[in-house]
Amino acid sequence: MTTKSSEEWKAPLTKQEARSLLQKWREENTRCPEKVRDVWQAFDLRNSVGDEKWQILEQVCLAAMDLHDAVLIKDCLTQLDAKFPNSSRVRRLKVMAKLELRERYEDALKVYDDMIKKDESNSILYKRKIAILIAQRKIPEAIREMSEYLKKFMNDSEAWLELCDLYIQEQEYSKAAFCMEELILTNPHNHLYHQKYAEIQYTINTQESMELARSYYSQAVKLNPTNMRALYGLFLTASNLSQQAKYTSQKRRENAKIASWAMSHITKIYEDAEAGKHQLSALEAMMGSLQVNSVN
Amino acid sequence: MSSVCFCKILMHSLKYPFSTVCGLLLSDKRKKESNCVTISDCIPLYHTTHGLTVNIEIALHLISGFCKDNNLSLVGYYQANKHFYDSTPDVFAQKIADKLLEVNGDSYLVMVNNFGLPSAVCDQNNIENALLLYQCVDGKWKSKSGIVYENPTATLSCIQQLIYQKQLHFNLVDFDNHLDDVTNDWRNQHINELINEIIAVK
Repeated sequence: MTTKSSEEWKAPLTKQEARSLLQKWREENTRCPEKVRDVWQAFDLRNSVGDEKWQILEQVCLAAMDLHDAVLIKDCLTQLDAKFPNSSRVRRLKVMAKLELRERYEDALKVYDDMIKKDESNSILYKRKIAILIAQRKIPEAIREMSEYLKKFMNDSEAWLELCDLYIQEQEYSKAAFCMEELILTNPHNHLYHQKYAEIQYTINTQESMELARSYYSQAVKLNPTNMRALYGLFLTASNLSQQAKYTSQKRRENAKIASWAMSHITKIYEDAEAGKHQLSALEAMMGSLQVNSVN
Repeated sequence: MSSVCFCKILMHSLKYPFSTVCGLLLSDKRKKESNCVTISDCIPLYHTTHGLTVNIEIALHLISGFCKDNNLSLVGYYQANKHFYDSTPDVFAQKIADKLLEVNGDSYLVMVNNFGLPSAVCDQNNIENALLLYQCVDGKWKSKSGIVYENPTATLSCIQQLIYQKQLHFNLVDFDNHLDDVTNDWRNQHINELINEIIAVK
């Protein structure tokens, strides 16, 4: 593992690389404001990127808000405002910087409501309102708004995930599971959805939900054989079920088999990665403490 | 609390300021004293799966094996909430701390005080504002004072250097990073060494 400081990772970049790095972060929605600001300030991208400049300015402006960098926020907003005086996208940024950042939430909500009236299909405005509710710790209200939002914008998978997390925070696990079911339906090949569904079922912790967790972990492993969370999860669920008193001894044995299958895969991944001896001994200790071997 | 532990808790919180982060507190069995616990190190756990039990269980299984081999004991749990104004332990933090208490007989719950952090890292007179300590009294987690920091002057200047100047906190590895790529080592030995080097020079 190398230890790089911010100076060291920035230094070898060319201007072009810096630009595509920013683009990648924009597309993947990566939230790394320190790096965005670093790159922006280290490379003079103002005059060399054509119309992409405006998107980058928006990105830098959002990063500056995360960092409460008032000077940089103002710099970005002035330029954007001069170029696009009537844009609702710039107006949204201004509301975020001038009202939300100063915690004038009620005022911000009013402006957003106004803007929604003029532009009902703008999903980001609805999401800003929900973000404000979350910032105010009004979780039940945020859940209600989010559900309303999802009736209009059913395909927004990030919103489903956020709603799922809100339900988990409120410990409403079966509702959280429902959100994941929706997501699995929209994309049955995403192993992360299966994994998260299994994690929720594991947390519910009844015999039935444990069995569900086992199936969904299995599916996640099938879709991506190197998903460590799913492999560990499969191991834990199967070893849990292998001690299930209500089961026949055959069923218990089957689960023990699944558990040791998962463990052998986990061990192999550590060995292939040459992750070090202490990781393997930690694994052995884990196996020992769960007594999976004795059932075999 | 050792400088290493304090630095790493802050590095973890500042690496993921938008998430609720959590980790485990370790104590060296060989340095045990009768009326106080020295928290010598910590292991950063998660920043993505708050509120779900399975990943915590994985980590606890693996780390208790590691502790046994290295003469360490698990003495507590730390958490930094994602919400800026809310630094109280939520139901999940309390449950995990309850569980540790059940297993160990003695356990501490440490919360990062988001609101007090800026003043704490700038001035060593405010260092006790950085973390909030909770202890279980009659089944409830009560706020207590009394974290004593090892070498506060050196620790704070170490934080200034590692986090604010070099931004090395992005290199801290937590269990989420480990499960994404098993070559990421959650012991963070290189960071421990760096911290110890800086403290030794001061």
